[in-house]
Amino acid sequence: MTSSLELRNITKVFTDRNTGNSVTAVEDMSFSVGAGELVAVVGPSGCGKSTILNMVSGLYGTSSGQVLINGDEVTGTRPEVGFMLQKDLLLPWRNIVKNVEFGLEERKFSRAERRERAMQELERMKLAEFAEHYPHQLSGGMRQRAALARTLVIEPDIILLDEPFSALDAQTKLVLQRHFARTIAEAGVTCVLITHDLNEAVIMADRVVVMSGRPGTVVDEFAIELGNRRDPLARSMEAQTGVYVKRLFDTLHLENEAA
Amino acid sequence: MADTSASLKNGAPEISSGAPVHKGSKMANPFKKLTAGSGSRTEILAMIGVGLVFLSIWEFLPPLLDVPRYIIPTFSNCLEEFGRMMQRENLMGHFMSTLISALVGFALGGLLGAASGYLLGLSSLWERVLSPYILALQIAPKVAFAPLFIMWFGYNAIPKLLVTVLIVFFPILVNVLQSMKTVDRDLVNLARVYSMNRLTIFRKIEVPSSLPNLFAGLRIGATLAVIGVTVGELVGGNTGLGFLISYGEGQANTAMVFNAIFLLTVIGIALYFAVAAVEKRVLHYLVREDH
Repeated sequence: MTSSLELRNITKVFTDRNTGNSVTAVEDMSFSVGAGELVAVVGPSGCGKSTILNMVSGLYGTSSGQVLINGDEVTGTRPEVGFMLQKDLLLPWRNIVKNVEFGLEERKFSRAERRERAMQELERMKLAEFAEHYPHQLSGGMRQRAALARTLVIEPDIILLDEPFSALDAQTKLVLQRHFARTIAEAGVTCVLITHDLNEAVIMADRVVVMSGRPGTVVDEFAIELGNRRDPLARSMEAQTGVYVKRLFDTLHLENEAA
Repeated sequence: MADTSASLKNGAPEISSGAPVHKGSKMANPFKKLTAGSGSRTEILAMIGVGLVFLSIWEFLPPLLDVPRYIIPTFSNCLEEFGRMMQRENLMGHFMSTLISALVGFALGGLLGAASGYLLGLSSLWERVLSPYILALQIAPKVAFAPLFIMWFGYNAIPKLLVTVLIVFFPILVNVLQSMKTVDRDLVNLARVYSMNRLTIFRKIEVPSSLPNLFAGLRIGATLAVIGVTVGELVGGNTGLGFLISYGEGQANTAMVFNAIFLLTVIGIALYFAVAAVEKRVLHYLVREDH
């Protein structure tokens, strides 16, 4: 089963610990993600992209507004949400298969069942032969695949990706984007991809949400009508891709900033 | 709902800052030269050569300069005295007494230090409340407590054990506390997204994350334990290598003092390497940079 996600008039205010001043990270922000849809969120750095992710995952609440998953308000962390960051967050003291099992440990599975599910997921990620390796023995791309395996093994309805490719080299990035695109499409999960890479947003998403600088709010939102979401590489070759990227570029006023 | 992450994250005054005792993980390994660098054959030969040169200078130079044996006993004097001490002075008994005190003191101090570090790490409120006192106690020279403990507990094994526990306690406490405060917040958040409770997060994230720091503290503690026991025995007691030092001093038996110091060093090295060996097994997943 997949879920829809809706953010309704969200505002998040933080209090600066050192100065005591209030900082508004996100202001009156609304957008929604349909079931099975992949929405990319782009915006300048510091626009509160990660704040959104933390509120959707239930790590902290909103100051005002609501986050709804299938119409239910999010009030805390919930088992059907998986998240993944730029850092792979693999536990260095566990080998890969035990890292994948990590998310299953709070579920009612037997040890053997956990192992079986984790191994299945690793096979899907073509990492089965590295199950007994430790994270430091793997390359950055393999570690990120292992992190995706850990994210998907809990069979989430929604996954939140916070710049998962930004720490990788260009080639690994391409390969991994395609791998992720396929895997996520096959799993049919709803997905929010937070990124600062405009091209990545266009080639991977069904729809793009553009945020303004702090306090972050939605300034543009449009569908990417390229089809074939499973193959970002093919998408990147299409002429229309450039048009979408240009639109993002203009919306974010990047030209002015460079000047 | 943000309580767990927020309470641990805040900028409470760091207990360890400005403290004289060791910043744990960053501390240089005092035995690095011995453990690493064992590469080439010539290096090993040079090492042995330096030892032999030192021994022969020690053996032949003092008699040549007419230095009396109560100032610098030669190597052979010391060996001779060593044999006599084995037969007449129950050297093995004293050695074992010091060894056992060091081990027990190290184990107790380590256990208490680690437990306190974890407890304080779990409660930022208590950490803030207690940090000035911990800082003060950490700076206070622990060996100066030895006479006090003797006044309280008498001439038995308790004072030297207490000094050892006290001296081992702080570096381990500080290292563990430091690591609890620097646990990767994102790892904790990941665990929270997986609906893990506070205790599970402690067990599965915080404790394993703290192990490198804990072991750094234990390594420091291992060398300090020997100092603690020695001071305890020097100040008051009738057993142990520390006692032999003050006994030898009273008799102007310098060779006895030399031998006792040598054996104390042996205990220190053994303890240190035992900890290092356990550390290497437990922390096998860390990439080592020293070779």
